[in-house]
Amino acid sequence: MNMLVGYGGVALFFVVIVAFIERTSHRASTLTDYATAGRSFGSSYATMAFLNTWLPGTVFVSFAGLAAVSGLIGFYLVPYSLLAVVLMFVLAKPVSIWGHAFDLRTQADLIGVRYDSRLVRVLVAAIGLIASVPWVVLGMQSLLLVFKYLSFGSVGATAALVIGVVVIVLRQVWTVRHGARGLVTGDMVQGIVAYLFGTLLILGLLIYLTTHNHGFSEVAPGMWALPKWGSELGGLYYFSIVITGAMGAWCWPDIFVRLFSARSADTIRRSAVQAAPIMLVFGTALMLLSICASSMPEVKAAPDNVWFIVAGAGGVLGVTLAGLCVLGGTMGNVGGNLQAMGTIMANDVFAAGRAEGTRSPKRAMAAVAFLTLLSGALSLLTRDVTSGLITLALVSYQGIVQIAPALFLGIFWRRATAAGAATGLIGGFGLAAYLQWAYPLAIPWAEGLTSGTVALLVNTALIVGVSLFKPHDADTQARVDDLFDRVRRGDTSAAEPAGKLAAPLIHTLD
Amino acid sequence: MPAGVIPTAHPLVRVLVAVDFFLLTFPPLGWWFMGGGMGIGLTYMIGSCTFVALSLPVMLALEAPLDGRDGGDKRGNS
Repeated sequence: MNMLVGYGGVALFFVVIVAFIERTSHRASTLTDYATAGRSFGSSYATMAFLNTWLPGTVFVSFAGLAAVSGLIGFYLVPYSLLAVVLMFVLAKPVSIWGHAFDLRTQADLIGVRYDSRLVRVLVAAIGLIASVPWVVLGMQSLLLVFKYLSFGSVGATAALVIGVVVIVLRQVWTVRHGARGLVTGDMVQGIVAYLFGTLLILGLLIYLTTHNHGFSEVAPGMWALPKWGSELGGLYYFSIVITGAMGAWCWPDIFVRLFSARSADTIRRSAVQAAPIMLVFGTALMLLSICASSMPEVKAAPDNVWFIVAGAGGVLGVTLAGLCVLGGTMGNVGGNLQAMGTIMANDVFAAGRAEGTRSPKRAMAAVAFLTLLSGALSLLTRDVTSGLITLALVSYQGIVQIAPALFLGIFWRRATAAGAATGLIGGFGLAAYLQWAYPLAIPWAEGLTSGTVALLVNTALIVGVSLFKPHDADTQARVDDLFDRVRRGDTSAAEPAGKLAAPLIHTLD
Repeated sequence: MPAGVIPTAHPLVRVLVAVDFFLLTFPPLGWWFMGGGMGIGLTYMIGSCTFVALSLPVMLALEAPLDGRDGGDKRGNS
């Protein structure tokens, strides 16, 4: 009977999401429509799409688990998410204006227009694709916990993983069919459940904990401190993960493409204003819940299960709602990733030129379907090497943040050159990979800085140095100046890139 | 304004962005506040994050008059 409630809740949630998507979405007729939903969404949808892509279901699992083990260090989710929102506000105008003017569909598209460089565009697309794969696989695997707990002991770990993967793959049918439009409308339902109902559930459970001998005073004193200068982990470790988290936010293809589905710069800014308080309240409440629950013996034994262990206080209904929150977060994140990856493949890797945007989105749909099946298969095949995948995912984070200097300097510094960006990307990615291999957690001789942070500094120095040493020629500078002046004027009128970008990148399939 | 940087934001918006990053990523600030126990650590963490969240509507109010051509959200929430 308990399992019926748990799995029945999932089925009902699934039906509601699909009904909402079918009612509010229509099939995309062009690749641009498929990738950006025609840049038609207002701030409410844009806010929830950003949140549902940014906060995966694993915030309830691994992030909550980290806070239950490490205390305030685990709280880093909130500061870095809020700084990511601040950057969203700052990026709004140039990204929206260039997106409208040049019909941009992906992050690599924007970088390509700014630098007029196939090499830089393909490097960004390739890094984005490679880095996203382990996160999609891990997202699918995180549903193991959901379907294990919602079976209330009737289903084993392997069967729960298979069920979870089947459900998330099935959900992608609507991602494939409707593209960004289906994704964003689905995010609204999933986001309301995961973050709004989720926050209410968290607050109720927090009250339960604090009134049942698991309040703040029961938490071990060391949980309220950060590593100090000279400590084993290093005094700069915490700040390093906040910086890489915030800077890396806009390097993820699935996050960045959300900016293109918003109607205007003002819509993006309003979304930032709306997302910040939700993130603040949701993230703070979840981290406090996890820290308070750290005094529970069951949580000490299995910190990643903290969300479900505490939700057990609410009985069958509590655990079911907890499972739906994780599922809602995972659906949004996995779907966003797959749609962005499929679009990158169709738009940036197997592109047939700028005119592609006016053609059928079939190639992107096929790419999303292929990636979904591939990720589902990988999730099942790698179920015994999850720790290796987590390592790969962490490595990928240190790698993808290396896009940040090319992205931010490209948008805010008109002297940044393609040669500088390519040098920084290659040098930064290579150095990050080496340092991550040599120092998986933090670099002792750098006071706990992570591999990604050190590589980020070198990467930035390379871009600035190369750009100053070998500046743009007069024609290129005039082209870049025109891009920047367009932002100054607020000019969104359609235009063709002045450079080489009308040409295919790697293959021409048509 | 430094040469080459686009004037994408009101000067006060730049100041607020800098303050937001300073509050959340300047190590000595974190070491000082988050080494003094639960009360002061939580107050710093939640207080600084609340400041950042509240800075965004202020930024929006400062930016909006500069972008009258932008169109905004006047067409509803499709």
